[in-house]
Amino acid sequence: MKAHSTAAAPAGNAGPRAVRGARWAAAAVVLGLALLAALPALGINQYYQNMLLLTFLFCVLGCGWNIMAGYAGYVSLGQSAFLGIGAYTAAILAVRWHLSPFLVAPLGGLVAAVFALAVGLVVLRTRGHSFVIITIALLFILQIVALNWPQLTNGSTGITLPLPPFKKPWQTAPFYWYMLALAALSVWLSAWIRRTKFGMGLIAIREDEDKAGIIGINTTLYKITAFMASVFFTGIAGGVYAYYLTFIDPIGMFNILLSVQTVLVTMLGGRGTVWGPVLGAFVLEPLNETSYAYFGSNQSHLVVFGLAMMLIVLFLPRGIIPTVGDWWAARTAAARGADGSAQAAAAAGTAPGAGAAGPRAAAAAVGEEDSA
Amino acid sequence: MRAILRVERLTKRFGGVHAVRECSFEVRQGSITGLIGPNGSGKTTVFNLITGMIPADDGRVIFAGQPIERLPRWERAHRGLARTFQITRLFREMTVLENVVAPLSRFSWRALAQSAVSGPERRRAMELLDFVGLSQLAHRKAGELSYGQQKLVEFAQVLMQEPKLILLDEPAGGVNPAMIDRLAGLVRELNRRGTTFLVVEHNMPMVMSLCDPVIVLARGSKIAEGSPKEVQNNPAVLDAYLGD
Repeated sequence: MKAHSTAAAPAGNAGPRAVRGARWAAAAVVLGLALLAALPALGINQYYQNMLLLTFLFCVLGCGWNIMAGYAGYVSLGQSAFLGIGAYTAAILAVRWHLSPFLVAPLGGLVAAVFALAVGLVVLRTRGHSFVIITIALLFILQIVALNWPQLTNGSTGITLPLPPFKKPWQTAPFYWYMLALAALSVWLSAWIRRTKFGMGLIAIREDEDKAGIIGINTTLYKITAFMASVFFTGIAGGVYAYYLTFIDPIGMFNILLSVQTVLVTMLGGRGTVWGPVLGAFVLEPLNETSYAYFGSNQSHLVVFGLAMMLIVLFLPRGIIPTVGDWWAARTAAARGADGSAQAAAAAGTAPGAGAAGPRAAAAAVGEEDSA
Repeated sequence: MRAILRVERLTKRFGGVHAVRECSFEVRQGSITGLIGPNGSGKTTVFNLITGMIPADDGRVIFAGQPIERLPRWERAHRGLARTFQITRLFREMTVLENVVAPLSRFSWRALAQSAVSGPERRRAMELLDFVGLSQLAHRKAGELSYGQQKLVEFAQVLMQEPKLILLDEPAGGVNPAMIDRLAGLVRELNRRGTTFLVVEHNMPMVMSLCDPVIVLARGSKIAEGSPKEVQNNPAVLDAYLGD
């Protein structure tokens, strides 16, 4: 958050160095994406391909959750509900219409957004903590509905999706690429929102919602729009995930653990930052898989989650990116101070000098405005 | 002169306490109107009711000829109503410049998709920061500024809305005397250019030199109104401040 707010502000008078920095960053992102996309063609083994695919899934979940929780400050524990909605939408439509789940997955995103709209209209008119409760409730209600509406969802039996037609060695590569694309789009959406007036309004809501309203920000509309944006790609990812698993049931699809892991991923990387969820996903998902590999498929990975959560709250309450960003800023400031450069002195001098120079500057400014 | 703001029989109860009781008054267009009264007389509650921070139990608020008491607060802002807070409220994690460009004077989907800090808005915000004498601090985090500087940033933020009426809640509270003079100067300057002010203030010298007329509240309703001189010599006012 910190790094981005400061990066956004001086953009207008950015020097050539900042422009060059932005170009390098863009180049690094494109290169990283190309590398990840090339991995299946380079013959990466199934185990790592699966791990990366799930990492991308958590990027999608985390980036989405971050729009609502990181930018607007509304924490939800129901991100996985929208994964389930997307999964069921795609599964039901694919089976009924005899279409590829890949084709109908985007409809899952739309249905998820409509759900978010309906929930948002009820709960986001007001402020405060009801949101987190309602999102947990939504998750469990959807699970109960999915269990008890067999005509639509096949109940506890679950739905078996059509078998993917892809041949070895490309069996899972299309899922990998689809999920990678969704992760990239999620990051793009999150970054785009962060740069816009909409994103600034969300941050204003997080900082002081009453004040945001007073200065003309339609807080209800912002929150509902943000909620819809935060679940859209998650809904699409649900369809892709369902197809990848080829079988879904209510317990697996409306799973609160996925929501908890989404929160964890984003908190670890840095809530409110664009890249936080990505970093968190790339750290936690491999950790998760490793704990499966070491301790077997029992509940021991929950202990790993619990420990990770505790460590984050204790030592990195703001997440990796803001903490490292601050440390870096302090370090460069100290280095500049040691240089004793005129620039640093001038920058520091503006703060105390402002009060004294103020009235004259103000008077001059008034004169200017009048003549203009 | 016509009234830009008319408050009619405004009422607000908190539990059994009447914070504001059938309060009625007018703010003349182009005036700097003072709103004074002893502690607990309902001044800030009146501000909260006018701006929509809290809903009124009863009564009407007519702004620029239209009833606004049922509108959400952002709608009221879009109509040209702005306020500052007794304890300055800025978005502390944002830069000073971001704080100043944050207000919206209308809603449009297209504007939402625009860059947060750009174009004419950015220029206007820098002008306003110049006006309050803080342009050197534009890229600092708002939370890092001194209290007086934060007050000035809030002032610039309010001006960004190009409001018709500005409600100032204790602009001189917790601010050093030099800053008070400066704030009063800015208010006069803006008033000269057509902005109307309604000022809640405890600093009597400031009220008496800045405001005309002055409205006096006690126990949630208006008990007096007039020029600073008239109000000062009104026995009911003396009674409200010193009595019981």
